[in-house]
Amino acid sequence: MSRRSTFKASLLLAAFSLVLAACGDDLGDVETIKLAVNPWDGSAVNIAVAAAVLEGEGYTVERVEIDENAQWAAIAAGDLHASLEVWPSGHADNVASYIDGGGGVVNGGELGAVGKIGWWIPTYVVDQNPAAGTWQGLQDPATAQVYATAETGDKGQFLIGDPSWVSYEQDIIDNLGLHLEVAYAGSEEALLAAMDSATSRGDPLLFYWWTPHSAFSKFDLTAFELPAYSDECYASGAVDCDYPDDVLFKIMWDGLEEGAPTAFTILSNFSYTNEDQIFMLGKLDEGLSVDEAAAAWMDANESVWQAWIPG
Amino acid sequence: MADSEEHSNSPSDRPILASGVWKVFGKRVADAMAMARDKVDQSEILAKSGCVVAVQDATFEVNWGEIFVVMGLSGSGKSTLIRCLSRLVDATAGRIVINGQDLGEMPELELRELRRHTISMVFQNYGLFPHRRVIDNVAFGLEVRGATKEDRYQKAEEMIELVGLDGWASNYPEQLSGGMKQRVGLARALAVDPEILLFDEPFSALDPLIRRDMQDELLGLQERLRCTMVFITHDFSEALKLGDRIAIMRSGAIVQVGTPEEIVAHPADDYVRDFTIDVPRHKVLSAGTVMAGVSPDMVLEGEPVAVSARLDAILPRLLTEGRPVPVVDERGERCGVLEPAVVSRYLWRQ
Amino acid sequence: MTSLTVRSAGWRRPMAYLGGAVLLLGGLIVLLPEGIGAFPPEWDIGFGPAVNEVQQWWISNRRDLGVYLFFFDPLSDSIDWLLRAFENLLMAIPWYVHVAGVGVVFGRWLGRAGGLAAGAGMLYFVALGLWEQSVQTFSLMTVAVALAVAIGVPVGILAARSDWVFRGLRPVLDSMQTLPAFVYLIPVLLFFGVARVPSLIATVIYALPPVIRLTNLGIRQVPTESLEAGLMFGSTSGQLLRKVQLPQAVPSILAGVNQTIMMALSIVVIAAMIGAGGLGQEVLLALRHQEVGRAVEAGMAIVLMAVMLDRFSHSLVGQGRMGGAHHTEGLRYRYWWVAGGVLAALAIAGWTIGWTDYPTALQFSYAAPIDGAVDWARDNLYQLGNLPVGTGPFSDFLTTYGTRPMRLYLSEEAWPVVVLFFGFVAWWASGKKLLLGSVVGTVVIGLLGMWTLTMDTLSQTVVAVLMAIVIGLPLGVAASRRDWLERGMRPVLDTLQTIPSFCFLVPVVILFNVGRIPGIIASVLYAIPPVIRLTNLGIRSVDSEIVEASESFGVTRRQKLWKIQLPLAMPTVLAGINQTVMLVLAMVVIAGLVGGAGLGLEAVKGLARSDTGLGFEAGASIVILAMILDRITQGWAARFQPPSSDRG
Ligand SMILES: Nc1ncnc2c1ncn2[C@@H]1O[C@H](COP(=O)(O)OP(=O)(O)OP(=O)(O)O)[C@@H](O)[C@H]1O
Ligand SMILES: [Mg+2]
Repeated sequence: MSRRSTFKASLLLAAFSLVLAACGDDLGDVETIKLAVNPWDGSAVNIAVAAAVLEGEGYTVERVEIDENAQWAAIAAGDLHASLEVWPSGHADNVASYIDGGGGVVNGGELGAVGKIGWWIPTYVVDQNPAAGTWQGLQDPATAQVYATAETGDKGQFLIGDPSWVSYEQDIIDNLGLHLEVAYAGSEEALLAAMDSATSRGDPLLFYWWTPHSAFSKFDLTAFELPAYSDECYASGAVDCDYPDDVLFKIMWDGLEEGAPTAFTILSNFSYTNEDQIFMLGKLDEGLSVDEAAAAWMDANESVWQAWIPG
Repeated sequence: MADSEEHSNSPSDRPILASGVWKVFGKRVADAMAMARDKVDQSEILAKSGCVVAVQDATFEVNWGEIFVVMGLSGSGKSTLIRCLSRLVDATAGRIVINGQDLGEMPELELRELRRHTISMVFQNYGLFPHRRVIDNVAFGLEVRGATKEDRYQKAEEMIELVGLDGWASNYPEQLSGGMKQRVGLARALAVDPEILLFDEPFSALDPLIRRDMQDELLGLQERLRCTMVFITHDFSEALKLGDRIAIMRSGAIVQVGTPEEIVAHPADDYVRDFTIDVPRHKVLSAGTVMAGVSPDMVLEGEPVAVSARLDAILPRLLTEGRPVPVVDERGERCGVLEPAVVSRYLWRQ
Repeated sequence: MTSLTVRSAGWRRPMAYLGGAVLLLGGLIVLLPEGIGAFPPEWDIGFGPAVNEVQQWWISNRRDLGVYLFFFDPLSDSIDWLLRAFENLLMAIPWYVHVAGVGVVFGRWLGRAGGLAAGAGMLYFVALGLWEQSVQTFSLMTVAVALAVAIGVPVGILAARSDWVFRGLRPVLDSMQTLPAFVYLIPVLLFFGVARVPSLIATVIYALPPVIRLTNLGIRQVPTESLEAGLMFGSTSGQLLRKVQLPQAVPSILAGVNQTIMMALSIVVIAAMIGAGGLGQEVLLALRHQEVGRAVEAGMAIVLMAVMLDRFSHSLVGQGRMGGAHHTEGLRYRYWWVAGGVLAALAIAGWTIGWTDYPTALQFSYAAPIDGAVDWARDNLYQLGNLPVGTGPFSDFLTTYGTRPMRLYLSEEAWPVVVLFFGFVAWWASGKKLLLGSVVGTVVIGLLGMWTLTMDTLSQTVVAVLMAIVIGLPLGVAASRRDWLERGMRPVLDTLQTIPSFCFLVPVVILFNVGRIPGIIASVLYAIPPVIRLTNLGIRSVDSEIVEASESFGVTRRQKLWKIQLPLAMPTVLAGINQTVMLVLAMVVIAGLVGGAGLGLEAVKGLARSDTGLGFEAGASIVILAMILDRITQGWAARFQPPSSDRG
C-alpha cells in the first residue's frame, strides 16, 4: 500500500539487512533471481514481465513480497537481487547510503515510466467550478466549502490515504493559506472507495494521488493546480509547491552483474512507458491475474521486451 | 468418659491418636485461636480476625478394628478433621499419630507411602475419576503404587465383585447410579488393603433405602475385614447404627465421645441432647444403663435379664407384667433391677 | 417476588448516582480555572522513543547476538520448513481426496448430513478457485494452532499450579487479547525475518491466550474431591497431573483450542499484510481493486473454514468426553482403515492418470451479483431522491450530532473532568479499586501523549456501542419470542463474527463517506452479535415459573417484558454488552483503515512507518481503554446479579 516514506533509516530497513545477511548467497553463479515485489500493482506487473523474460532465458525467479523500505537492506545483502520501481522522492536517504555511499546497491537505470504525486480532483469539479481546481481558489473560504464534509465542518476536506505516504499536505495548506483540513482515509482502498462513491454522484473530492495508477482508467481525474515545483521551494523547508516528478528507477544488488550477467543486462535494459504499465494495470482491473496481464502486454509488445535481451 | 474404655488396647499402638488438634483457616491464626479459647462465637471470630476455626482442640483416639463415628451438623468441622487425619489439610496445631508415627512431621515420601499402603478414603460425592472406567478407578491406588496391569486388574476385579458390581467394570462412572458409584468408591478404597479407612459422609448423597443397604453392607464388610474405620456423618441414627464409638462435634470442638448408649443415656449438654430426642431409645439403651440399684434382701420374681440386653427386648415383658424385673451380670449374679418408673424416665426423658 | 423488588431498587440507584455525577461534574467545570483543556502535550513522557531506541539497538547488535544465531534463526527456519512441508503435502493430494476425506471424517462424527455438508463446504474452496489459497491459510493456521497448543498447554499447567504465575500472567493475556496485532507485526518481523514465519508468529501471539486460559481453568476446575482422591492414594504430583488433572481438563483444553482456532482465523487478513499469503492475501488483493465480490468470496471461504473447524473441534470435545464408549475398538478402527484405503486408492488413481486439477469449466463465482449489489446500494441507498434520508445523510447526521461534538467535548474540555468522570463511573460500577485503576489508567494515557486520540476513539466506541445496543436489543427480544427468527439469525450472526471485516470496508466507505462513521458501521456489524445473542438467551432463560407467576397477575406482553423479563435478563444482557464493547475496541484499527482516525490510525501509522514505539503507545492506550471499559461493564453486570452479591 505504501508508496513513499519520509521516514528515513526505517527500522525495518536495518532489520532486514541483518536478518537476511545471516544467510547470504556466495558470489558463484546465480541461477535463481530474487525479485522484490512491493505492495502496489505497478511493482507487481513490472516483476511479472521481468520474471517472464528471465524465465525465458533459463533463470528461476523467486518473487518476494516486501516493503519498499525494507527491500534496500535485503538487496544490499544479496538476499534480493532487484527491485524495478523505486520512487526517488521517497528514497533520497536510501539512495545516498546504499548507492552513492557504496552500500551494496547499484542504480539499475530508469524504468521509463514517470511517476507523479499530486493533488487530484474529479474532472467534473473543475468543469463546474474552475476556481475549485486551483490553489488560489481555495484561499477563498467559500470556494473551499465545496469540499466541506460533516467531518471537517466549514473547511474543505483534503483526503489522504495511507499514513505511510509522505506528504507535505499540511505544509502546503498552511503555507498557501488554503481553507482545508487534512483527513486520513486510512488506506489506499478506502480512498479508492471514496472516489468511487463521490464520482458516482458527482460530489467534489480533493485528494492525494499519483500516476501511473489503474484508478486513471476508471475515473476521470484532473490535477489540482498547485504552484509549480521548484528545488528552492523544497530546499526552503517550508514547502508550498507541487510535488516533483518522480523518474522511476531500478535498483540491483551490486553482485548481480558478476553472478548473473545476462539477468543483469536484461534488468538493466528493462524499460517501458507509463502507457505500457497502465495497459497492464487496466488488465488487472478487468480481472486478469498479474501474470496474465504481463503475458497480454508481452504478446502485444514483443519488440519492446525482445530488445532487452542481450545479443 | 474414662470408664468407657472397656475394649481398650494399649495407647502406644492405637491406629489413630489425636491430641489438641486445631485447624484455623485464615491469616491471623493466633488471634483466632485465642478468641476460640475464650469461647468467642464463631461468627464473631470470623468478623474480627477473618479466620474460620474449623477444628478446635480436638483430642481423641481410635481403637483397632472399631468404627469411630464423627457426628455433627453441617459446618461443624467434620470434613476438616478427617482431612487433618490424612493430612489433606495440615493441622494448625496439635499432634496426630497414625500407627505410632507422627503425621505432622512425616516427610513427603513417607506420607505418600502411608497413603499408598495404610490409609484409604471414601468421599461424600464419590470422588471418582470421570475419565476412567470403573475398573481403572478401582485399580487407581495400585496403579499409582506401580503394580503391574495384570495384578491390579485382578485385584480390582475381586474388589468389584466384593461390592457387588460384577459386570460393570468397563463402564464409566457417569453411567452408574449414586449407590453404585459409592460402591466403586468403596472398592477403590479397599483395593489397596488399607488398615485404616476414612469415610467422609459417604452415604449422604444416597436416598434412604440405598443408604440402608450400604450401611448394612459396610457392617458386613467390617465383620469380614476388621479394619479400623473413621466414619463421618451428620445423621445421628446412622452414627448410632454404625458406630462403636461416636464423637460429637460442634463449631469445631468435640463435645462428647462415647458409645452410642452412653451418649443417648448421658448426653453431655443440650446440643447433644437435641440429637438424641428422636432416637428410639429402647433400641439403644441396655438393661445395665437404666437399671436401678438393688438391695440384696429385696425379693424379686420373674426371669432375670442380662445387663447387656436391649430394652426393646425387655419392654414387652415389663409392660405386660407391670412389676420390677431383676438384672443379672455376666456371672449370673443379680446386680440391679428394672423399675418401670425409672425405665420410663429414661425412655421419655424425665 | 422479593427478588423483583430488590432488583427494581437496583434500577433506581444508578439514577441517583447519575444525578450525583452530573452535579459533581457541573460543579467541577465551574470551579476549575479557565484554560484547562486537553491533557497538556508537554506532559507526554511516552515510551515510544525508548521502544524505538531499544529496537534500533537490537537491530544494530543483531549480528552479535547469540539468540539469533542459535535461537531465532533456527527456530524461524524450522517453522518455515514445517510450514512448507505441510503445505506441500496437502497440495500434493488431489482436491477430491480432500473433499472425500473431510466428508468421511465429518460423516463419522456428525452423521451423514454432516459429512455431506462438510464435503460440499470443501467443494466451495475448489469451485471458487480458492484451493491453493485455502490450503495455504489452512496450513499456516494449523501450524500456528499447533504451536499455540504446544506453548499454551504447558504454560496453562504452570498457571494452574501456581497462583503466583497465574496472577502474573493475567494482565499479559489480557493485553495480548486487546493489543491490536498491527502493533507487534514489526517487532515480529524483526525477530523472525521475512515472509510467512513472522505472520505465523503474529497469529500465535494473537491466538495463544484462550489455550492458556482454558488449560488453567480446566485444571483448576477439577473437583477437589477428585484431587483429594488422587492424593489419598499417594500419587506423586506428576501422577496427579497426568492421571487425574489433565485428563479431566481435556474438554476445557479442547474448548480452548477451538477458541484459538477461531482467533487464528480472525487475523488471517491482518497476517496477510506481512506476507501470510492465502485467503487473507486474496481479500487484500481484491480490496486493492475494489472487487467487493471477490473479497466476499474469499471472506466466505474463511467463514466456511471457521465453521468446519469449529464443528470439528466441538466434536473432538465430544469425543474427548465420551471416551469413545460407544464403539468397540475393532469396529472403530475398521471404519478408518477402510476409509483411508479408499482415499489412498483414489489419490493414487488420480496421480497415475494425472487428473488432479479441478476442471475449470466447473468453476463458479458469485462475485458479480455482489458487486452489482454494492453498485446498486451506492446508487440507490446513499440518498433517496432529494430527501434527507439515506446512508449519506445518516452519516452526516451522526457525525454532526454524535461523534464530532462528543469528540470535541471529550478531547478539548478540561481533562481532569474527563478523568474524574471516568473514575466516577468506575467507582459506581465496581468500587474503589476500579476508581483508582481508571484514574491511573486515564492519566497514563495522557502521559503517553495519546489523550486526544484516545478521546477520539472513545467517542467512536461509545457511538458504536450505543448503536449496537439500540439495534441489537430489540432484535434479541424479537428473537427470544420467535424460534424461527432465532434459528434464522444464528448463521447470520456467526457469519458477521467470522467474516473478515475487510470485506465490508469498501461498501461502508462507499455508503457512509470516508471518515469515522464507516468504521463505526463496520464495528457495529462485527460487534452486534453478542448483544443479540445474549439478550435472546437472557430472556429465554428467565425462570419460567416467574414468568407464569407474572402471567397469573394478568400482565400485558409489554409489562411482562419491561417488568419481568428484561430486569431478570439484565446480567446476561450486560455480559453481551461487555463483549460488544470489547469487540468494538478490537475493531479500532480496522476503523482506522477507513478514516476512523484516533488510536486506530496511529497504530496503522506505527506499522506503515516502521515506528514501533508509536504503535506501542497507541496499542497500550487501546489496551488501557479496553481494560477500563471491560471492568466497568463487568462491574455493571455484577451489580445486576442476584441481590446477595450486591453489597453496593
Ligand atoms: N479451605 C477452607 N478455607 C476456609 N474455610 C474453610 C475451608 N474448608 C472448610 N472451611 C470452613 O470450615 C468450617 C468447617 O467446614 P467442614 O467442611 O469441615 O464442615 P463439615 O462439618 O464437614 O460440614 P458438612 O457437613 O457441610 O460437610 C466451615 O465453616 C467451612 O466454611
Ligand atoms: Mg463435610
